[in-house]
Amino acid sequence: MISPELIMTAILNGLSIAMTLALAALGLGMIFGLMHVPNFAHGNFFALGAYVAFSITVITGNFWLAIPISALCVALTGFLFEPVLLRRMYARPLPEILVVMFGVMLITFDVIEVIWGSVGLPVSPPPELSGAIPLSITEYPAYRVFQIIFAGTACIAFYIFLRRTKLGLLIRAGVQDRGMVQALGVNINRIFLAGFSIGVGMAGIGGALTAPFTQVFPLMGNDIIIKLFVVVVLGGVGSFRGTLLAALILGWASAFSALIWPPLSEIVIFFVLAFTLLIRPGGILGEGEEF
Amino acid sequence: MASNIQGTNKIKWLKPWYGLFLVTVFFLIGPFFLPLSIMADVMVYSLAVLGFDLLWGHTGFLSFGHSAYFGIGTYGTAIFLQFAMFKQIPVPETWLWLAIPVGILVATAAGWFGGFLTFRARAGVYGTFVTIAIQFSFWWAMLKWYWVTGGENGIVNLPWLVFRIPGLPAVSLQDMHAAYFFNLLIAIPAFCLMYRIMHSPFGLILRSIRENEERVVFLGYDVHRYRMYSFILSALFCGIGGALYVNYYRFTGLHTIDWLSSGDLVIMPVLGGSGVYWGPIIGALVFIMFKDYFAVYTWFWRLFVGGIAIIVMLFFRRGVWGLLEKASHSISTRLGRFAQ
Repeated sequence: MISPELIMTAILNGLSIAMTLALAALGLGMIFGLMHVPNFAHGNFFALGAYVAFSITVITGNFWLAIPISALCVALTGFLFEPVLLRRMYARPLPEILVVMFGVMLITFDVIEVIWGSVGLPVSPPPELSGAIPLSITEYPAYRVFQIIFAGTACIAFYIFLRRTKLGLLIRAGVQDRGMVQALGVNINRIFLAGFSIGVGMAGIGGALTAPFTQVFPLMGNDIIIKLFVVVVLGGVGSFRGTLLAALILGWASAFSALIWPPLSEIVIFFVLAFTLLIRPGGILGEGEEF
Repeated sequence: MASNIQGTNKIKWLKPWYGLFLVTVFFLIGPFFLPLSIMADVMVYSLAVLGFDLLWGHTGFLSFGHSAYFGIGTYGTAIFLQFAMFKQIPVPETWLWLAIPVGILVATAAGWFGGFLTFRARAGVYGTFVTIAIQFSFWWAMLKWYWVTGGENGIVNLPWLVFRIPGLPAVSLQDMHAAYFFNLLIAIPAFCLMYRIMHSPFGLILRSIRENEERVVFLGYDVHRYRMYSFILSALFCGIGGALYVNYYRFTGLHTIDWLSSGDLVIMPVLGGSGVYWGPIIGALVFIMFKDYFAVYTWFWRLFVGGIAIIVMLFFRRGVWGLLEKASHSISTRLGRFAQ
């Protein structure tokens, strides 16, 4: 039976899913808009964030430390990875970049599996956030409330970073017109390096935040990457508001369809995608919006 | 991709019928020096990859979800056989071969639907993302529709095809060799058909779309329609591959329809050399032999597949076929110098 409590829980669940998707998809969309690289490995950077969070929690016993450290570790991985492989590929046609990124995705799967093994690992949330807190008519796990608030804050921080800092300005300019930024004497490679590191770092935060309520397993990147691409297609590349809106719609579609028939929650985002493409081929908000 | 608008190969002595004859001979005598299962895989995947390459190498649209159509081909054939076995469809034993055209038709219909949705998205890479999403939904449907598709176990123990020609003893495909050579009977006309498609005026328009879409529009061709034709034809060939796969192995499972197998379909033409008819066939042969070898000695086959994709893209963009062309060119110039 569908009661008001269930609906309230579904709203919160949808928000929680949406925030996870939004954090990672904003990074993916920025990388794609800026460098025109469809980062297939983005899901694995997400998984890497979760695994680093697992290791830090096990070693130090402190989850609060795990979030910043895993974000930094993932951003550092991106920082080291971009000049080695990606920089050689920018001049190539897009399908070739796609194939290379697919190769990177396969390799990073195996690397994660070699380091941490193929068994799912549990991450315990911090003791302060165990248990549930009452929210109007229902109770909700305290950790997930924290996750929604933290991820939302991170999204807003990312927005402020894009709008209010010099680097953010350069990134937005690069999304709009890469050639013009170069012509004005900016070293575009540095912008790319910064953009890629920040983008995968966001995926790392998302992974670390998600780790305590899903297990950490090697294929978690595979599970989320397709959804991330759907969010980016629906929201429109380079559109902050569009990405956020698409993530919210997909999160709630997924949470509410689970009320009707649980297996549906995995697939409903593709129905949303198909339906949106039928009535609005250009994504939810359409084209022409900048980051 | 080097712009090779005519789609012809640069090895002068390799005339079309000569090449198709070589392919036939290779599949005929292959079982004598390679394991039969590898040869069957090469045949099935060459067909699927040729279909895929019509869309990528020739039309210039990269689909990352083509295992959907291969998988739908296998599931269509297998579900038909299963229903026929349990008499849910009243088909006499001698008509079981209908499963193969049914599988191909289902895959083609799925390709029509997939192509329709894909090309609704904005051009280029958005379409690629949509193909992934479509492939994932088909995969999910096969996983959750378990009372028909068997879910994670797949469909196993299918009946084999039996042929009764009046006056001759009945031929049953229970023997793996019989199944292999029956597949060859379907595969060789399909290889020839694909050659014809790629080297027809239709194929030329597809390659023109790849090179300069705008100019093709100005010439008065309906680019969207030609892209759709290309997508549907490629799904058809993936479907043939899928149907023959079931005919040989007599089972199917989620591994035929998952995302990693889409990746295999992309990497095979990359390895062999995409955009030329012979490239995908060579790519399928080399890839399947190496993958088999790696799967025996290590379980890091994903590392191997990904490594191939990166190395080929960075250093040999035209794949094995490009290397062969270079070798042939240098040999012929040296011979020419020798003759003088």
